[in-house]
Amino acid sequence: MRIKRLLSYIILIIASVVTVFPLYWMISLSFQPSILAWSYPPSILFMPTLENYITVFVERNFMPWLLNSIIVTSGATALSILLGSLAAYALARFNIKGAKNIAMWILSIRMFPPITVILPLYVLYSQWGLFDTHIGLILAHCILLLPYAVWMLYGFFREIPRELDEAAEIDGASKMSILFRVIIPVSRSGIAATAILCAIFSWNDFIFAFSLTSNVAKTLMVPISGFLGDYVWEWSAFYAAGTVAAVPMIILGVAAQKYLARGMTFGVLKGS
Amino acid sequence: MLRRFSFTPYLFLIPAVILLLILTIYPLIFSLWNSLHIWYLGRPQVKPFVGLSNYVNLILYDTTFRISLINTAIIAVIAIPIELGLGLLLAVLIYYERPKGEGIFRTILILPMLASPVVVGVLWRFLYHPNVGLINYLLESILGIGHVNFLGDPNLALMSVILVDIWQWTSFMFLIFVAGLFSLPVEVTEAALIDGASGLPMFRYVTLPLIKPLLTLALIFRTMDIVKLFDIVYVMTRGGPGSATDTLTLYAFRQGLVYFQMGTASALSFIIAIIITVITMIFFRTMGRELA
Repeated sequence: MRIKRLLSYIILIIASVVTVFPLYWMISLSFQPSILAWSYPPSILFMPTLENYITVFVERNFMPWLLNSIIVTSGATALSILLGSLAAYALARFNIKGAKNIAMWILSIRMFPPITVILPLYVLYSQWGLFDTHIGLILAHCILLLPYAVWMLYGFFREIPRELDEAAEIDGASKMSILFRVIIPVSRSGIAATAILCAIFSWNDFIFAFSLTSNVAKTLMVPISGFLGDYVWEWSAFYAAGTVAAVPMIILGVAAQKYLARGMTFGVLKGS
Repeated sequence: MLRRFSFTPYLFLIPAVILLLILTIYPLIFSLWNSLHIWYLGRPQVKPFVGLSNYVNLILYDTTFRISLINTAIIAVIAIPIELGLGLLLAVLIYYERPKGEGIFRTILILPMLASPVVVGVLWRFLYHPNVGLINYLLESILGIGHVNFLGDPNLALMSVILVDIWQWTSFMFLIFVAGLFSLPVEVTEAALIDGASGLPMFRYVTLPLIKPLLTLALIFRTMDIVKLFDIVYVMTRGGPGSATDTLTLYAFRQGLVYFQMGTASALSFIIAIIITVITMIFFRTMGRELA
């Protein structure tokens, strides 16, 4: 028994080290003086510095792309939560004919390969004047986020006892004000979790941003994808840019850990 | 009680539905139409109708298509079982052993799936670097072999990409299985314990059947993701060397947005969509049968 337990610890510790090490490596080397970037053997002892962050965000001008990421992620998340709450409320509270089919259709959109919509959108966006605009990318990200938003919120809203609605209805509240004054405040932790999941998907997206934007609206992931490691400056610059691109979503994801499994499986798993 | 037909419910549903119609259904119809034409975006006014010949050419004559289909299948067949096995093993160890620091393990082991695949791809590209990468340094100092060109050697490139996929997405399997295991009713395990079950038989005959629907679900999710695989491959190898790491989505992307052959690219993207649809149908049937 004791050996088994010891073995479990060993496996878990090895797995954790392998999992965390590359991320730790990136974050810690982002504070390494860039002179040491190509030192071989790799140097692990150094005076931490912020020079790489300055190099990449000021000198190499990554700041606008970071701002674009923030704008697109906030916009797409807000829009998805808004439209998602409305739709989820309708699905959870009204007897709509074909509600199940609509829900399934929305879910199936998430299953669809992005490239199938990206190719025509590339042409249509040029005609509609949405190519390389923030609003264009925000709308495109809604294809990714809305299915999650609708399904997660649908699950949360269904858990709210109907008596709450009925009480408000007796007080003369309209359907719209029931949604905004009763349902949404009651399920705010669920909404926060949904928003975090949406933000992670939007922030981490590459293929939509790469295909539908160019020099104006591209997000942080697009220039980061261009680091090939052929030049010395790229190494420490990437560690800094990569840290800024990865760490915020890791922190948000850990904060919403309790709801992650539920969200990722469209509410199949209620989580623990 | 007879209820009057009310339009209100639809008002709530309409914004989301309209947005999705404009952004998915309309483009898809447009794209289906394009896939029946030869359409080079460099000369968009010339657009002859060619029927199904884009599809026929891809399936019968296009070697790159065949290679990228095979590569995608290889990635799925190798990466997914390993991710599933590792994720399940780690989840089961935590569930049965309840180690000290359970919460820390559970947090650490889900980190990779939260990081952007682009960042993960570039990070591993650097770690794999033949001259100054950390992995080659470790190999050289421990095993005496160095300067392995993980991503540049056609025989190694695909395996190197698969390894990164495993590193990143085992965490997804782990997340699903841990959540599934911890939501199992305690009584079942306790009853089995009283009956004298433990260890492997306990897992095999009590726990495994209970989480089997989750295994199917996780398997299908990951399969769909692999069919759509783009980010880490693009970032690490651009599909190369040659076509050694080309995937279906990567090839469709290149046909459409690099060579601007929109007809061929659209046809290819619909072939991918058909593959996904078949998997989705299996998914819905499993959802309906095992999870309802």
